[in-house]
Amino acid sequence: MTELEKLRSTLTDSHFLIPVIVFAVGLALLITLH
Amino acid sequence: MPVQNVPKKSMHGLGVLCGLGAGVWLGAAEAPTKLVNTGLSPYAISLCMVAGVFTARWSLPTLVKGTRGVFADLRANRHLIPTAIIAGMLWAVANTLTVFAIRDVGLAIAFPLWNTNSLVGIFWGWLLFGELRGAGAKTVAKVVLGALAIVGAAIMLGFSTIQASGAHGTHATGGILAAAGASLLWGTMYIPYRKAYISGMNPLSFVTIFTIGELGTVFALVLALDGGTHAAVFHSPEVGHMLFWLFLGGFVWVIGDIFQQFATKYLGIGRGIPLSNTNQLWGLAWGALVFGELAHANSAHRMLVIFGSAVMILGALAVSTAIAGEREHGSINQSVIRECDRYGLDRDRVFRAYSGESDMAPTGRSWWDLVVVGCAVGVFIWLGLRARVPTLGMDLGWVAALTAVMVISAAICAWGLWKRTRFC
Repeated sequence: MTELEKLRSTLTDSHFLIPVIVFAVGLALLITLH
Repeated sequence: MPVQNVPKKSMHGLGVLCGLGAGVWLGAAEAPTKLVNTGLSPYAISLCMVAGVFTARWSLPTLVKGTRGVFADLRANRHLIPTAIIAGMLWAVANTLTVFAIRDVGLAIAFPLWNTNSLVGIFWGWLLFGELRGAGAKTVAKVVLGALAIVGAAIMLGFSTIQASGAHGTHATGGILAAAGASLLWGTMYIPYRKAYISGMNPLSFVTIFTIGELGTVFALVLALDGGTHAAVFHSPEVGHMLFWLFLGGFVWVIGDIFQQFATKYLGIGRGIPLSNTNQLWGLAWGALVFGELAHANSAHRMLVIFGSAVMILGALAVSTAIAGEREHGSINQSVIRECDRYGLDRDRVFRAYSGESDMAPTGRSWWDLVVVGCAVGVFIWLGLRARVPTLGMDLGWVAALTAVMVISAAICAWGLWKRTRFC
């Protein structure tokens, strides 16, 4: 498996996507509250 | 799917030690920030502290493993670098949300809400990493009730340090949302931690990258929300006099966080977060014993502190004794196998790394290590020479006693990690 394939696998993994979604929600909340 | 060559030795005791050690150091990290009394915004104070964290994170891993060791591990796990960066970004946004929560609803409501991050962590550990699956009812009860006890105790101890102002409420909904958001982000932050460790990555390498996401996000928040390049933190002459204390807070925090990372690796999320959250007990000890914050407390107030401390100790005891059984280990091992299959990793190597054994050849030290450590020490000395000694009253006897507790706890954890895992 190449490094690029591994990276792609990380970026599409729920272990990465869930934190990304939560981060986006948190950032949106922060901008709204500011 | 059969799992072969899975190491049988239990790392539970070492993980518990690291979790409790993390609590001692993370609780003490707030102490130096109490010495800072300026008109700077919370964003600015957070940026200064994270800059100290950044400095310490690049020096301590270097001292322990050497830059060659850290970079060799990073090269072997390049695909996990985005997960470490997103973890740092989550921390930074969560920390900033707490500022809004305190502003809008006060610490009394905000603090209990964001301390529920341990419950969020238990959920993710169960859902994504097989934690508590197959565990007996007694073990599940110990973890869940122990975590709830620690949250409850944190609420009591948080109340005991609050100077109630009652002047909140105009943005109550926003404040509650901010606190709940911080809890969600800080609980979710452990997903990348756990993913990295079940894939065989070393915690010292992980934190090295984590700090880039953390510092970059805090810096971006200052630029976006705190006045951009005109922000006071970049221009105020007062900043130079207080940077040392904020860097010191960051340095103490890093040591606690490193132990927290090892607790997450060897205990899992569900057990690791509640034990690290005992930091509230140590934060209270510094506030009450060193800074005399409870000097004017009445008897009811003192009873709240004593009862809260006892509940927290009982909660930590419950979580500490919730040892994963054969079936739960089997469930967790499946999540390790999932990572191996996903990335085509060598199962034997990953399982050995997961259980604290490394087959990576010793990389030795380079002249570059001395430069990195020398720069970090130089920064601290330079800031120390410019620091203004605070006039705040402190009980130096208790400073010495609590510092001794910190040193002893760090020595025990470091010795255990070195003896059993060589910091792998």
